[in-house]
Amino acid sequence: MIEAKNINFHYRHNKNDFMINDVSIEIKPGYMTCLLGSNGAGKTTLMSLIYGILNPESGNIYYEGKPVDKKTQQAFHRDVAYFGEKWCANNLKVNENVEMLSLLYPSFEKKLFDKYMVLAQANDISDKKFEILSTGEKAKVETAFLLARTPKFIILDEPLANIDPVFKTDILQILQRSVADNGTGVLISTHLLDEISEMVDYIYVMKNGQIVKQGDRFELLGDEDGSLKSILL
Amino acid sequence: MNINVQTKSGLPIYEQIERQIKDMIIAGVLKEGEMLPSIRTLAADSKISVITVKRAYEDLEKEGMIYSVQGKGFYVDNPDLQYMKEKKTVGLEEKLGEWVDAAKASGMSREEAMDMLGILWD
Repeated sequence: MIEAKNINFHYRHNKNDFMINDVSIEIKPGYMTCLLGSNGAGKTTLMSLIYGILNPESGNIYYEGKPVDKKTQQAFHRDVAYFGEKWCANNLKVNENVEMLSLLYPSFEKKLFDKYMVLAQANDISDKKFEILSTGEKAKVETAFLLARTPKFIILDEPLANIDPVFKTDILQILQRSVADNGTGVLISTHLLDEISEMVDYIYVMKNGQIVKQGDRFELLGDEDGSLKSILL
Repeated sequence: MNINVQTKSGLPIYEQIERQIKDMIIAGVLKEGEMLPSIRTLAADSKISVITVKRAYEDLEKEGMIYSVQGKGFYVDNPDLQYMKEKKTVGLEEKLGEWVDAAKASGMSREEAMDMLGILWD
């Protein structure tokens, strides 16, 4: 399990505040956890703090009970995949990108990548240059690549933004498949609950750098229905 | 295993799953001792959340329809099938009784009612 405990962070850039205020969240293996909040709520900042792109002012990230520090960070990054940085080189074909990136990750398996690309209905784009792909196709390639490493956890920062609705389903499909096959723990952020509501197990609602609501799908509902209605942001 | 879930049908999804599995067990489609798909596999196949399936399986286990083996999975139990079949029929009889009363109250004749039943059945 990945745990963020009492994370505090404050950074001001131009006139923008990037602030995280005493946030604690858990990413459980084998479940899909959603970080829900409108743009500017702090989702990207929090995910950057969890993954280690940013360092908190106070509080810690724990992986399997131990704090993530210089000694343990390598193992952490081996086991945890992050969707949000641009891994692929634009002028290379998809295949060439995959070959290049696979050198960085010993656990990467090409046949898994191919399997996820098929499941995501994207197997016909391997020969194309990355830069000519649509946003959705790029997201499929990057997600398939990350999952082909068989990570224990995957953190996705708004992976479905600006993507064709049909493609959204494909990407969620391969995430769920990884959860089913490998017990992957997924943390996914969005500002639109509807697009992932059926698959989500746990939710953290974020506003102004704080968690304002949290629970499993049944708790956040308030009645017995088990289907998520709109949660006031 | 083919589970059909309708997300906007008004009936909670975990209940839909429970009913369909129960029906399959009663009908003999799922046989005693048969292993059910894992919670995560069913969730991924039906595109619904893991804890929704978990809840359905746990409810079915409480009702004695299925049982779990630590480290292995869930299996079809041997519920009192005759009792379950009767319970289902009694439920249907009650519903039919209500409908008959309503039909009579609306002035429908026996023949008209039988016709309606015939049409709806097909």
